[in-house]
Amino acid sequence: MNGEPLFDLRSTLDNLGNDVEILRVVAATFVEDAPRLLADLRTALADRDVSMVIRAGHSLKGSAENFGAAALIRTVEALEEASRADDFKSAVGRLGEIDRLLARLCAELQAL
Amino acid sequence: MNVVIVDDTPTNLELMRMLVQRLDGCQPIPFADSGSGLDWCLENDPDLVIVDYLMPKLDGLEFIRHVRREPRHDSLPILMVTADHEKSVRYAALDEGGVDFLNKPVDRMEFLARVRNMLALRRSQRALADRATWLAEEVRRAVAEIHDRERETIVRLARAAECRDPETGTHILRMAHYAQLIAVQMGLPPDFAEMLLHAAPMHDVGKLGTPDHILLKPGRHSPEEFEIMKQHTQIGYEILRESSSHAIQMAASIALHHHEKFDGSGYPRGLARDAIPVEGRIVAVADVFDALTSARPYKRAWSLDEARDYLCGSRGAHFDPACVDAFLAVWDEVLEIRERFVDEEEPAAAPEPDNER
Repeated sequence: MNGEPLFDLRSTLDNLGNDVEILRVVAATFVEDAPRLLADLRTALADRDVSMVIRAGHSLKGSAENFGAAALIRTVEALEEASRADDFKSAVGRLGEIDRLLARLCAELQAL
Repeated sequence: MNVVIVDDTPTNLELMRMLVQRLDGCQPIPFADSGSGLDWCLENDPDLVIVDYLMPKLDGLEFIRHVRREPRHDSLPILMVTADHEKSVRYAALDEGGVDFLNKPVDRMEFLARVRNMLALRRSQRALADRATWLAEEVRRAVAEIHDRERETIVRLARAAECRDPETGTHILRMAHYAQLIAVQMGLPPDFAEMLLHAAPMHDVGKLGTPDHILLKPGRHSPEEFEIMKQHTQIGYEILRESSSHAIQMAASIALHHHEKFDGSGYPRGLARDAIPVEGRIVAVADVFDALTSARPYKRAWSLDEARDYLCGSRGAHFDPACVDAFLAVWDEVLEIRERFVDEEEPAAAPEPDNER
């Protein structure tokens, strides 16, 4: 997993018509919103509220998709899957992974 | 153009806001809260709404339904942002009409193309609506102009008739207002009463065709002369008949019938009761009452009491009882009209006691 890039800069810029300004503004917005996205997911998981987990996961994925953050999205999907299966132990494990991935992603986006 | 963007995810909202801002002449109006976005749409005039589907509180479908409930927004273009696998959501949105879709994640090329298409649609809608408004206004103005001209024709005809008549202009105004008053009081439609006000002044236009030596003769008319006098009803009718104007059609009827009497003893045709059109029966009361209460070269002005007694006495004979009753029922307003239109040239001719009624 360490070899995989956290997000796809090439296709993201391509999609934005190489408009670096848009990329920076949108990246900054994501970085600013990331703690809330993560907190929502954590709260939903603590409450064992599956529909809230799905909803918070949807927001996080929807935001991360703009940067092609494939690894993060896959991990969120795995977390959703585990919660649906009532496997909250492994879901919490996934949350830890998400936390780390998100922190690194934010650091990279901030550096743009 | 105003482009409202509603998405609870800040990153997506910001991305779409920036893309819209890059378009010429577009003002993005972003809302992270769907309720606030809806309020704005209902109070303002958006040109395009871009709304995310999955949102807390109000979702995209509910949002569209609420917007559509506002009649002003029944054809407002709306783009809904969904993942392309959400087929049933897309069908439901299509049911709401005027909706197209944007795929998630937002693809800039697709986004810009669809937004441009929707705004082109909006521009056409606006141009069409502006044109319709402009046309309606032009038609309204043209119709008003026709009405004004028609009224002017009527006023000028009435003036022409006045020149030939020893009666004064204020007589014509008073009797026309009395006639309107009676019609209103009888419960006839307001349009009819209004038309009567404009048509009644022409009742004596036929006197244009009465020879001077008879019309202007100071004393009594001989029976032969009176026969010629009577012809003013028929002459007036000939002048006015077959007009395409409703007011002049009514004036023709009034000219012909205002000397008919309810019991059939009037002229020119000796019609009785309902055979006399109602405008003729009304004007008969209005005309006679004002003639009685006005001073003329050959007679003094009757007092209001005397004139009132005459109307009551001739109720059912000369006059339609319904017209007399209506007239007497609004006596206060009759007095108001009398005070409003006073003869200038003969201020002392008809002194009336103030303690009438």
